[in-house]
Amino acid sequence: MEDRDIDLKGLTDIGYKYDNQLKQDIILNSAAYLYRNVSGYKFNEANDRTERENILFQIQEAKSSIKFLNNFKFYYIRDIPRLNRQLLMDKHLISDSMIQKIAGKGIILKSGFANNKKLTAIIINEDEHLKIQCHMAGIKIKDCYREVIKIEKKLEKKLSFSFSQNLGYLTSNPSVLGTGLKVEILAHLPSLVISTRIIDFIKNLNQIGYGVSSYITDSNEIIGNLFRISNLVTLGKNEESIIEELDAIAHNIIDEENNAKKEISSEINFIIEDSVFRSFGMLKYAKVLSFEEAVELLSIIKFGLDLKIIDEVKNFNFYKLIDLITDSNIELNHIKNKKASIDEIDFVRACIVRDEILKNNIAGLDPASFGKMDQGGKNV
Amino acid sequence: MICDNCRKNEAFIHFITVGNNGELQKMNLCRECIKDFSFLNDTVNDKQKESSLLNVLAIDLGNLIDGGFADEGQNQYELSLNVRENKKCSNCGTTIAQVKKSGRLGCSKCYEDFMLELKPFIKIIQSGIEHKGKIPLNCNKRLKIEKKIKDLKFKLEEQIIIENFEEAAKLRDKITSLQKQLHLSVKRNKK
Repeated sequence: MEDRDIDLKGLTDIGYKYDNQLKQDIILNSAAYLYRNVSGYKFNEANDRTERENILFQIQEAKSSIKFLNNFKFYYIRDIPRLNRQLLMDKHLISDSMIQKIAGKGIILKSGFANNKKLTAIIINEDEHLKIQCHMAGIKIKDCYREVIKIEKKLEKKLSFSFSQNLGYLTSNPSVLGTGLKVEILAHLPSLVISTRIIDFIKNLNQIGYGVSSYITDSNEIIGNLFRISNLVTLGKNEESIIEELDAIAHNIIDEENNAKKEISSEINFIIEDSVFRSFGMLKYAKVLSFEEAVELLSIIKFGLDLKIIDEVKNFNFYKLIDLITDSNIELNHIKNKKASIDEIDFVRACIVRDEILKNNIAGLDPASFGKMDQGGKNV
Repeated sequence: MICDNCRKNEAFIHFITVGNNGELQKMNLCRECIKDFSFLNDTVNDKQKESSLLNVLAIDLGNLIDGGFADEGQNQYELSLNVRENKKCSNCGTTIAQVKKSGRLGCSKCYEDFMLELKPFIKIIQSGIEHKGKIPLNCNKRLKIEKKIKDLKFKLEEQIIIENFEEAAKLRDKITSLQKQLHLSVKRNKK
């Protein structure tokens, strides 16, 4: 049963193929999460290691008997190295609680991610016994839902889930009770933030049962004008209406953001121009950049590009770039075989960003060549 | 608007019913009279229930009434929480105090054992306490019919709101026939 032979490549190259044709401007990403518990066991809040291992074993058995899941690969969390765990967290696949008490916890990932348009994963024994999730670029809420429900239906034939006639699917967390379905979009809204309309917008969302959170999981701080919007209500509505509502909200957000953008562009003042060019200057000449700072600056550059304030920059895929410059991605893909210091990561990050956004690529800016700062600096 | 029954109090709920021949009836009732109305009581016999749309509406009125007195519910909730802090789940042993602290339940039995305490809380964070979504594949036939009836009732509500009574009457007939089917299967099971 023990499978210690870990396919590290499968855990390093996680994501989906970026479709250059796809409009990925305001709504950057969609996701669907389905929570289920296997009946006959206590929830993860009250159970122990042995029970979790039994649940994991049962799910693994079910997985291996389902043809559809053949190209999904199972990993024990305990076998996944620190950096790869961090990468899973940065991709919003697992949460902090997953890397505590790691016994009896696992993840099933679709292999060959880089060629897929979807990022699909099944998390075992996180907060609930099962978390089936799918992430896609752009507004693809329905497709994400279809993917997770397809997997759930296959698993349902082999496993029995905790269900009550009145309360629906039972979960340890009452906020996902009922359908057990959370759908989420990631929105980039610089114009709504600059025009301060975002405050009313969030209030309205809260009133109709939708919550807003930060790009970084478990953080209250909004960075880079990025907002994750998801349903707070899972009981009393059916799946279709939850999806349709968020879909309508997504289209509404696009209209609101575009309107705000139009208003700003009709009266561009030197304050806005200053902030765009200041950000450009920082990105162009900075030698070290933290993740938060880079995202913040890139967001403003993207805004400047959309409003045609600035033309010294290549048009870049904002989401793809911020996905590329997380600490874990840099450490895994650019600084190999050694433990990197924070400064080193920040230096490489600054190089990657410069490479991506400057029109004329500058010689000597190989991100791996940490320590050759002067050469890069002179050429800029 | 004044209540059609007692003609004294301000009406609280306004509803429209469709008779068997498709005729419309409008009715306005106050809080007091709603409680007295027979269709809200469980004692109404089955024949009466099936013959009228009223029983469909009665369920929603029930919800409305609960919503109208939400404050009372809240107080009751806090009261019961304080008294029953040490109440334990009969399956996993999780106490109310633990649930309060972590916001998480220990097992599916917790939902049964703590229903009284949880209900007002779930009502606040969710939209109602009735599951309207997907049901498991391997559940029994009765549950599937019940789910169908629930879905149709939901559609019926929508049609009534947009005053499409023709469609509403059709849906009502479908619900009635499904309810008969349900009764039959229950009887068969008993035999």
